[in-house]
Parts: sequence; structure tokens; C-alpha cells
Amino acid sequence: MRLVLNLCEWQLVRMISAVALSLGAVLFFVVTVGLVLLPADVERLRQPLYLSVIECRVQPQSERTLSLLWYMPRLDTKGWVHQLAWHDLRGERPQVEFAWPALEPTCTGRGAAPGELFVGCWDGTLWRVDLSQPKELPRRLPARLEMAPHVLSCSADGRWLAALGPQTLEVIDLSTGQTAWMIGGGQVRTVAMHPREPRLVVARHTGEYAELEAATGANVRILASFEEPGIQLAFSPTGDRLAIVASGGRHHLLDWSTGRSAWPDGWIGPYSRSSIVQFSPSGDRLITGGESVDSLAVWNLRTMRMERELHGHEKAINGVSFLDEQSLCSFGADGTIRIWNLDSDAPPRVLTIDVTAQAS
Amino acid sequence: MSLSLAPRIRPAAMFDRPAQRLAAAFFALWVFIVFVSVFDGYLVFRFRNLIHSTELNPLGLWLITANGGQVWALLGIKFAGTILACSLLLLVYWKNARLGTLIASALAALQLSLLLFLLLG
Repeated sequence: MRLVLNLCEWQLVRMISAVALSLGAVLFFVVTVGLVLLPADVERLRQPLYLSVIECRVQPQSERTLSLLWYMPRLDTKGWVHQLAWHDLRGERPQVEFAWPALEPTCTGRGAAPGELFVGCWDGTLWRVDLSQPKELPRRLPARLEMAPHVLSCSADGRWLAALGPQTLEVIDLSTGQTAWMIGGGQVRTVAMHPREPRLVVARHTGEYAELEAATGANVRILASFEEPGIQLAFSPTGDRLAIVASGGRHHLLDWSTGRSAWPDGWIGPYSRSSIVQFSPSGDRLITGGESVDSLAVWNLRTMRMERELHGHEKAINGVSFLDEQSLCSFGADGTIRIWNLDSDAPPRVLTIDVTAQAS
Repeated sequence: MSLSLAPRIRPAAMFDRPAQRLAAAFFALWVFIVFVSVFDGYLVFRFRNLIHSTELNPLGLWLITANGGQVWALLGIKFAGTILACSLLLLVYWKNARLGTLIASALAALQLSLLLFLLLG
């Protein structure tokens, strides 16, 4: 009997010891991890909000710029807030003024007329604004998409607007504001209007790149076919070249008339984890993502060599916009806009977008 | 008949090198298991505003949903489970050192996979 009692006692002691040791170890690591990692988080949380510059619509011959900002207040549960905001490109912390706060934009696209901009919103509505008349209210287009668009591209004649959502590509006839035709089923990954002709190119989920009539959606030709579908397309200013970023990160450069690769023979093109691709105003330079998502590569298309890599952003770069042939504006998830002189090795001018006052 | 807290290893062998190595290996694996579990809990706390959309464990997701998006129940159960598992592991080790170390190795391998997923995935 005593032996049984002893046995039970020992088992109980073992169990209590095991639980105490385990509890002690867990508490030790909770305190250690807390002491090591939490101070950095507390410092981060002291900043009032997180902000990302998604698009930056620089107006030629003007310091005034309209940017699409996404920000998230730290001490609020509303989540992301989407706003268009006016600011200039002077100083380190430019004054920011929200434009049309009632809109909840997801993307913007340049129109054919100078200063014309189309805005796609979360609720699927499309709006037309005139950047030269900032006091004027935006005009809503009659067409409404099922889901928020993430790409808007207007034809050179100003008649057709391609709006791409997660599942559907709709082409709007801007003379009536109604949808002219659409492709559903998530077949189209990205789209771009030709800068001279009423045609568009669509990147299909199968890896095909097709030229379509803007008015009818009729298939004109299959331009090219790759293993991976495109996620970003950009035409050169004259429309003679098409740059493609495929989903695997490979960049293709095609001759628009032939559909053949415009890279030097035997070269398969650069690779980047970023989806950025943009031609300079002359078409002599091509900007792509660099070796990481927070860097850019500048390609000279005359020599077909990389001129330089641009490093400086602290988080992923969301896009780029040319001010002129030499000046490039990049913007990203670190809430900054950086203006680079491509002919100089000087560091970029850094503008930090701060909307703490407006958001509170 | 006598009882001892030590595992079933002959007293003469208690201080020999293989037994020490086994004890050291078990201790290292056991500490690693606790650390990864605590680190996982820290990440749940750190990203508590996003966890409802990123949690892959269906039980964890259910606990978050059942608590209106709050992570405290998940954290409580996670730590209680860790203490329970580590206590059982110690009991097994004290009963049979080799078996305990074997189970600890398997658990540590799983925890290593979890850690790599958390850091790189």
C-alpha cells in the first residue's frame, strides 16, 4: 500500500516538475522575445499611419501633381483609406491636399486630352476629371464595372477606355459612356491601348498576347505567345515597341509590327521581381524593376545596355513616371516620391508624403 | 525497490558521455520546440490585425472567428498546448530517454519546418 502511495506521489511530483519546467521555459521565451522584438514594434506603432504612394500623375510643365495614396491609420480599425491628393514636387515634405475625398479610387488612367484623367473606384464606378480644373467636380461615366478596376487605359483618339477588373475587361465607348464590349472569366491579365491606333493589346492567362480592335474587340492577330502570362504592358511613345513583364519576372521587348523580340539576338531579356515597366518620352530608355523590389534598372535601348540601377527606396517601388527625358519620379510603399536625374549619379531628391494632419 | 527521477539508465552510466550527449540533445530540442512555439505566438500577436486573413490552421481560424477576430483565445490555447506537449515530452524522457529524444527530434523537425515557413514562406 505504501509502495503504491509512494509511486503515485512520485508520479505527481514528476508531473508537477514537468509542468513547472515547461511553464518556466515558455515564460522565459515570452519575456525574451518581448524584450528583444517589441521595442522596435512600439517605435513603429508610434508613427500615426502607414502610407503608400500607388500612382503619381505628374503634369507636364507643372510642379502640381496628383497622387493616389493608400494609407492605414495605426490607431483605427477602418483599414486602408484610398485618396487622391494634390501636392507639389518641392521641399522634403510637400503640402498635401485631398482631392475629391468622396471618391475611393483604386487606379487612374490618363485620357487622350491634356490634363484628362480617368479614375476607377472601389464600387466599380468610373470618373473623368480635368487636372487643369482642380476645383471642378469629377464627372461620372454611366458604365459601372462589377468589381473595382486596377488598370485603366484610354485610346489615342479619346473614344475608348479599357477598364480591367479582377475578372472582366470592359471597353467603354466614351462617346456614350456605355460598355461597348467585354471579356469575362478572368481571361485577361493586363491590357494596354496603342498610343497611335484604336487598337489594344491584351495579355491572356494562357500566355498569348493578342491585338484587338478597340471598337469591337475583334481579334486582329496573335502578337506573341510565351509560357507565362503578362502582368504589365507598356507601349513606347511611338507605339513601335511593346514591353512586357511576364508573371515569372521575365521582361520581353517586342517589335509591334512583327511581334518579334527587339532584344539583341540570343538575349532573353532582364528578370525582375517587380512589375514596373515604363518607356522614357523619347523611347530611348526603358525603366524596369531592378534586382530587388525596391530598386530600378535603367536600360538604354540604343545600346541595349543597362545604364545604371537606382537604389534608395526602403520598401517596394509601386511605379515610375517621367518628368522629362532625364528626370524620373519613382514612388513606393515607403511613402516617398524620389526624383532622379538619370544623367547624373547624384542621389535623388526625396519627398515624404505625410497626411497625418489630414487623416486625423 | 527504489524510485528515481532519473531516466532508466544504470547509475554507473549516468555520467558517461553518451548519456550526457543524449541529455544535451534532448534539452536543446526541447528548448527549440518551446522557442518556436513562443515565436509563432509572438507573430500572431504582432500581426493580430491581419491574422484573420492569413491564419492557415483551420482550428486557429475557428478560434479567431469565434472570438470576434480577437487572438487572445488562440494565444491562450497555443501556450496551454505548448506547456502540455512539453510536459508530456519531459515525462516520456524521464521514463525512457531514447524514446523521449526521438519524439523530441520529430517534434523539433516539425517546428523547424514551421519556423522556416514563418520566416520565408
